[in-house]
Amino acid sequence: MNSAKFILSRSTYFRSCLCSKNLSSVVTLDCLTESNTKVPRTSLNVPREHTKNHIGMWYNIEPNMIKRLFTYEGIAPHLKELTEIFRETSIMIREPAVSVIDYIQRSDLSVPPNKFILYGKHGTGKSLSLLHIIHHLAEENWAIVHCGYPVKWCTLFKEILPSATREGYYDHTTDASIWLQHFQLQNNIILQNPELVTMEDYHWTQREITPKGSPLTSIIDFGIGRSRYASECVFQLLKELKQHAQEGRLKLAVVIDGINSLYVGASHYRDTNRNFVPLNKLTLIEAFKPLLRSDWKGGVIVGSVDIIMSTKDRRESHLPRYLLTREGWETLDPFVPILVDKYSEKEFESAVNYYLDRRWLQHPAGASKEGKEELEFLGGGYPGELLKLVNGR
Amino acid sequence: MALFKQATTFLGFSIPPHKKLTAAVKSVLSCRTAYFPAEFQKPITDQDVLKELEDSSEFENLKFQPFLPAPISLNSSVFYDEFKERFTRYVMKGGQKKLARELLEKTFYEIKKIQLKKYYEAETDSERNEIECNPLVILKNAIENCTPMLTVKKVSRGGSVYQVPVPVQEKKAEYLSIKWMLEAARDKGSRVHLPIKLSKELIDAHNGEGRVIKKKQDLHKLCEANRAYAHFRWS
Repeated sequence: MNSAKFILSRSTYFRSCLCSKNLSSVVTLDCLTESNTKVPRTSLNVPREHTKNHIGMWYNIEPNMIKRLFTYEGIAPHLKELTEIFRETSIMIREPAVSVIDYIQRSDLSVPPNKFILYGKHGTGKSLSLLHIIHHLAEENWAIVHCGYPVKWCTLFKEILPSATREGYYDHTTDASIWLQHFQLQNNIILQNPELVTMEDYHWTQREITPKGSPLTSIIDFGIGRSRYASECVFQLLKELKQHAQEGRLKLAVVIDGINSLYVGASHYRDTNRNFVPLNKLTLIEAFKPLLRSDWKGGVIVGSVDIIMSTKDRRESHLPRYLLTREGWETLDPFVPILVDKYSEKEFESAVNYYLDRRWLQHPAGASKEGKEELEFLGGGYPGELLKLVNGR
Repeated sequence: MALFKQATTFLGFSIPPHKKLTAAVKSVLSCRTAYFPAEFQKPITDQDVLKELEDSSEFENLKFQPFLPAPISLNSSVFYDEFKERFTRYVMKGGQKKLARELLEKTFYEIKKIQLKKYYEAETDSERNEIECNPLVILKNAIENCTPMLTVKKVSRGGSVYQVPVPVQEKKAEYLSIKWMLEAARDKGSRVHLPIKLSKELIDAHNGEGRVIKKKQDLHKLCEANRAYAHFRWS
C-alpha cells in the first residue's frame, strides 16, 4: 500500500511538472467583439435587386434553388463540402457579378447575343460570380445551357466511343446523359412550355425515331435512356434550342465555366492509331460551339476563362486573347471582358468576418487587426488563397 | 571521425572504436562543436514581449547582448505556435517539411469539420459551449492527455531482467505521447489519408478515450504492477 502511495505522490509531482509547460495554454475566442466581426448580410435573396451598394455583403441561396441548379455541376467539390459544414450556401455580392446582371437586364434580345467573358487570375472568384449570375438567370426564367467543368469531358471522361451517327467523330456516353439530366433539372419549368417542339424528324436508329412536332423533352428522355446516342442528342437539342431562341419562344442563356477548355489541347482518349483525339472530333464539345457564334439572337452568353482550364503548356497569362487561342477569340469576338480581381479592403474584411462568424477561422488571432493584416499579406488578398489559409487555422 | 579523435584526446584516454559513445563523451563532443558561446541568448520573436521590453529598462542592457541566430522555422507571425511547429517536425519524414505542414493543416480542417458538425447539431447553448472547435487547443490537449508520467526501464539483477518503473522526463514524456499518437494515426489502410485518421485520434484523445489513451494507461498499469522492483532504480 505504501509503495502505491509513493507512486501516486511521485506521479502527481511529475504531473505538476508537466502542467507547467506551455502545453496547457488554452486560448479562447474571448477577443471577439460585436463591432469587430459583424458580417454584412443582406436579406435580398433575389439577385435582380442587388446593386453596387450591396458589394461586400453576403446573401443566401435557398436550398431548393441549389438542388435545382447545382446538383450535378456548378459548385466545386471542396466548396460544396464547405456549404455542408456551414449549413448554408452564402455568396458574397461582388462587382463583376452585379455588373453582368445589370448588363443582362439591359440587353436587347432582338440582336445577336451579348457575350460576357469573366477573366482574372486563378482563385479570384470567377466561378462563384457565375453562380450568382446563374441564380439570377434562373430567377428570371431564362433557359440555361450550363456547362460547369468542360475539362472533365476532355481528360476525366468516363467513356468515349466512336460515334454511331457521325463519320470520324467520337461520342461520350455516360457524361452526355449526365449533362442531359443536369439540363433537364435546371430547366424543368421552361421545358413544360407546349410551344417547345422539335422542328424536324430525328432518325437515331432504324427503329428509334423522334418525329417532327414532338416535345423537346422527348429528345432529352431518349438521350438519358440510350446513352450511346446521348452526345448526338445534346448536339441536336442545342441546335433546336438555338432555333427556338431565334424565333423568340424562349430566352436562352449559355453559361460555360472555362470556355478556353473548348479550344485548347486534345482529349486524353486515343483512337485506333494511338493518337490523341482532337477536341473538334468530340461531338459533345462540338455541340456547344455553334451557340458561341454571333449568328443567332434572343440570348446571352456568359463565360469565364481560367489558366487551370488550359493545358499545362499554356498557363503563362490569364488574359483572354492568350487563353482562348485564335479559334476561340475569332468565334467569341466581339465580347465584353470583365475583370474579376482580388478582394478590396472592404470585401476582405467581410470575408474574414464571415469565416469567423461560421466558426471556420478558429485561431483567436484571426479576429485581431494584426491577424487580418497577416492573412491579407500571406494570401495577397485573393479569395482562394484566403480560403486555403483559413482552412488550416 | 576527426571529432571522435579530438574528443578522446580531450578526455585523456582512448576509447575502443567498437564501443558506443557514452553520455559523457557525447556531452564533451557537443561542447567542442558548439558554435556559439553560452552567453548568447535565444532570439525573442513575440511581438507583445518585444513591446513590453521596449518600454522597460531592460531594453538598454539587451542592446549589447549577443543573440543566437533564429532557426529558419521561427517567425513573429501571430499564428506561430511553438508546439505546433514541434509537432510538424514529428510528422515530417525525410525532410519533407512542406508536406508535413500541409498534412497538419488538413488535419486541422478535418478536426474543424467533425467538431463543427457536432456544434451545429447540438440543441442547447450549454451543450454547444462544451464543444471545443479550435484545432490547436484540441491538438495540445490531446497530446497532454496522452503524456505518460511513469515508464519502465530494464534493469538486470541476479541474472534476470526486471522492468523497473521510473519517472519520465518532461521532454521524453512528450516525445512518447507524440510518437504513440502518430503510430496510431499511421496504422490505417492504404486508402485512408493520414489527416483523416490523425484527426479522429486527436479528437478521441482530447475526450480522454481512444487507443492512445489506452496505451498510456496500460503502461501505468505495468508500472503499478512492477512497483515491487522500484528500489532497483537506486540499489
